[in-house]
Amino acid sequence: MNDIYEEIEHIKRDIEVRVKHPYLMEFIDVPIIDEQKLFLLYSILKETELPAEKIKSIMVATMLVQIALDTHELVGLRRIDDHHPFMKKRQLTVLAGDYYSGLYYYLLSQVEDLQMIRVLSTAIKEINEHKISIYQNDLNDLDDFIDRVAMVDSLLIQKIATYFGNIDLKNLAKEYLLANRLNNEKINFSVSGLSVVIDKIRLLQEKNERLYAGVDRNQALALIEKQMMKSVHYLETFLKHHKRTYCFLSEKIRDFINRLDLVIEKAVKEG
Amino acid sequence: MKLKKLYTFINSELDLIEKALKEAMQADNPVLKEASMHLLQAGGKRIRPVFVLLSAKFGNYNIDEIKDVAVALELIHTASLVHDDVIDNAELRRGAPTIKSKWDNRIAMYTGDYIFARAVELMTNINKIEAHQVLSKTMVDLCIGEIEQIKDKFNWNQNLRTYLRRIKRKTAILIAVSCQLGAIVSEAPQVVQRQLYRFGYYVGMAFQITDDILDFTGTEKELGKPAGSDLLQGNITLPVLYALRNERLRKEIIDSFDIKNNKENMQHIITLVRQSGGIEYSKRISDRYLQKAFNILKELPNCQEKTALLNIAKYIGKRKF
Repeated sequence: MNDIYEEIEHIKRDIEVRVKHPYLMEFIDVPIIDEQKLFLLYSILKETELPAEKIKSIMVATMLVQIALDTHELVGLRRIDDHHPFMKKRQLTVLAGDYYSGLYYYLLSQVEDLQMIRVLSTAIKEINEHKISIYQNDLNDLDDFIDRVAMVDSLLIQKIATYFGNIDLKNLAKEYLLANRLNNEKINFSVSGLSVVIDKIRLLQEKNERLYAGVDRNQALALIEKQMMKSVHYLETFLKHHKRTYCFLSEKIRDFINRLDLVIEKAVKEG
Repeated sequence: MKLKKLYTFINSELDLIEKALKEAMQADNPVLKEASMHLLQAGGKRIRPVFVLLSAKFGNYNIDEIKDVAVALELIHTASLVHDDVIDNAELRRGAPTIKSKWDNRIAMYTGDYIFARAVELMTNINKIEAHQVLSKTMVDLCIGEIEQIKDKFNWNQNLRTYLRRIKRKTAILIAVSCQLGAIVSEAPQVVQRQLYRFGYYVGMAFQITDDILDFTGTEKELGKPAGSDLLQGNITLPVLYALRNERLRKEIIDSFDIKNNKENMQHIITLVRQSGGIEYSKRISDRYLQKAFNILKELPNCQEKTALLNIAKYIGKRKF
């Protein structure tokens, strides 16, 4: 098990080196590397017959794409003039995202992995479709919204799992990352009173009053927890059915479930 | 003479490219589709697809294959413009509101990312890994060029070499690679691939220098944006670099800039740059690049594509907007 952690740590260091452009780092934050996604990718790729170097290049490239997409989420919306102190940071955030995106393509072309270039570029295209639908509130209902949130967070990994024919981990990635995302939203909400997802649910209410009449922020939070329970149920079922496989990933998921603070679940259990 | 008249013999192929560009932007989300089409419909010279097609004619020309390369390059150019408008805080592009202005920065970021991804996805139809190695390196270099441009903003002490390296990465490489990829994908001889790359590079350098000149000589109507926009952004281009060599002008330009960047002040700086001889100097440098491009063409086999490349290079040297 320690070897796995070492391997992942090694890949993480490789990514850190690639994204650290000296001038960019003077103005923008060091990108965050999502460890859960690394664990998922590692588990998918370890099931294949691919050599270690190939696994590494796919993991690094995928995480570069994720970092690129995440970086562009940080581009500010507020109208500021050209000489505003934040302008340079904004400009470099745009370019950093493009730079990281270029790096994934460059890396995969160097290792001659044309198939993976196709898999990732298709995923980026679709992720941006989902992002814009969420942003523009072009959503049918709550399920549509939750599904798109899940897709934004997991489509890169889902596409890779699908490419290697691992449907179990494709579905797991979607539910695991969704539960994680909703949990983070819940924590943000309880700490700061802010949550993009909760606000969106309330906006959906305004858009279609008949469907969500009377949903206030606390009720929106309850809807999130209900969805989380669904995802956690999926994760628990997965763990039950995979007692001898994906040991490393299973351990991570079990840790995650144990750390969750599902208020509603507790309340239901306590009657 | 209009640019399009120089290569009428590829009109039917260019129509195919135009159709393919529209098809490539058919997103499911209506806003994404509209935003993607927005810039495409605003026009543009489609100079990169033209270079791809003409260069491909020096090898085994297959329009079905080369079409994807031409479309991908135009999409990369388009996506970079969408993100550039966020970087430059630009309200107008080709005389029309920018995506970031019509919608907002977030839509511009998503649209740019979508178009970049679509370009790479289309390129994966090309089963020649060398083409991907060339293009991916170019995309990274384009970003580095833009990062350097920001780093060099308002750096009144930068030199000619810094400027030339910057415009190479910012503009010339993508034109050079348009020519090179046309040749690679059509499997033209390696020597021809290199020659076409060099040709594109020299033309690209001349193209950008001409753009930088027009920023001081063009009208707002011709440029689709206010004259002096580059300098207002802090981009020190060749005409300014030349003007800065004169100590008196240097002081006046820098001082004027420090006071206030209003329209009258900018007009004064434009006048100073024009009076400095910077426009004529820049034209001479641009002409030197064009001459190098002409010399490269002499080494290529005679054909109508070569004549078209020659005429495009000449046009670029003379263009007024």
